[in-house]
Amino acid sequence: MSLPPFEYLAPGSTAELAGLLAAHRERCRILAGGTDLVNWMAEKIYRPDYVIDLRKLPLAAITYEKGRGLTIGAAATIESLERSPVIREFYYALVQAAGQIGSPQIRAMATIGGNCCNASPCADMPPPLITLEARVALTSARGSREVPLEEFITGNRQTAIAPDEFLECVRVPDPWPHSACRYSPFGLRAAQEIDIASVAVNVALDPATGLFAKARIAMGAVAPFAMRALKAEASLVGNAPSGETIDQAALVCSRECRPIDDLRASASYRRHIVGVLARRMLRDAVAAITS
Amino acid sequence: MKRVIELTINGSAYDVVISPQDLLIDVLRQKLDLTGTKKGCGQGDCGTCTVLIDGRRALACLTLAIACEGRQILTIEGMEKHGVLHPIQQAFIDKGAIQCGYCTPGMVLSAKALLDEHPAPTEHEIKLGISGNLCRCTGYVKIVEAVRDAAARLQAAADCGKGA
Repeated sequence: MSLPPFEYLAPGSTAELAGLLAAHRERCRILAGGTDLVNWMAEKIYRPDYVIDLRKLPLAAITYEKGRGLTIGAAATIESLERSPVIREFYYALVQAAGQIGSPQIRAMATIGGNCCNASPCADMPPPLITLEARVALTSARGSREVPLEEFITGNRQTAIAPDEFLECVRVPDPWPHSACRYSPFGLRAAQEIDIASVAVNVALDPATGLFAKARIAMGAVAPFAMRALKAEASLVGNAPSGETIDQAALVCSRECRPIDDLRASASYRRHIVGVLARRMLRDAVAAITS
Repeated sequence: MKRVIELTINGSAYDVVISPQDLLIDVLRQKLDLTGTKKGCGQGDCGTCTVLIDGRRALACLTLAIACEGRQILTIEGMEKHGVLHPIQQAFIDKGAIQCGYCTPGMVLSAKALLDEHPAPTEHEIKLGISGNLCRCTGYVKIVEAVRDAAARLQAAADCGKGA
């Protein structure tokens, strides 16, 4: 395997990075962990003239401040998410997702920014991030804007990023009061697996009534991008977190998803699995809140 | 455009002429004759090209050599010291954890990364630690035994050091 030739640039500031992107636009690709980009260049899917490496930029920090929520720098590795005590405490679904990606080597190299920008339909980070109302900060020489991750990923490997923009960080608001989030992928083996389906849930209970106050469910690998189960979410809110409510919501999830048949699984099996995962994750989340 | 970069490998500095698109695995094997690191799948799945960069596991087949300037690279050649094998390497030999040997360099470096962080890992932690390294001889039972044995040897050596 050899890569097509390119010029390598490693800017020392985000201003310099923005300048390079403004100058070279579609002719460049951003390099973070490289676990996708290097493979895609080897397969000649991308033939950039310039590869812009983020390694000299201070974009790997993970910070949490009550009232302002969680900020994850674009170049934070999946391993660093998996090990972050604050993410484990407040955003457990992200730990569950990070721990499932690739291998220890891939997790040490791959980044949150890459996982979001490469927008694979079976990427593990977007479903839990979407249930947590994550937004991505996109920066260019023109300025900065924030977009909900749900709107940022627009299709299979497609995003709303402009050619002169880079993803600077992912922002996740404070957890809802009396809430819990959970994520589970499902594959045919335990390690280095590409999911056939995954489900993330984030639910809050009303402490006075005990009923579901808020609910978000996102499903991965069953549509061109991680999709919300809006009808299933609506079926939960205002109802008691009983087995019956959860079973009904899980059934709605399996109807709402839009899976395809492929070499990993049939569409009907994926629908079945989505229902199973949704039921398990909702039960786990409710148990975590009430325990 | 070719350029000269300095790579720090196993504690030694090497000046090497590379192109920006050169992968670390090819620079190690072809330009520096450090052929201990193996190339397997070439797409980041098999783990046999595992090296440690600044102490963390990295796949040399997915790493640009030019991106390694200023970083500490450890390959299998850097494990032995003064002609004495590292306790992990010796444990692999003593426990019969090597069959064809192709996965061994990557396995040893993954084991080192694991034991540097978890000196006394459980069997489950050992399995997770080497989950990114495939052994197509399927000699996993012996490999897990070797890592457990290496952990005990390293612990004993550390305890001995404390006593001295």
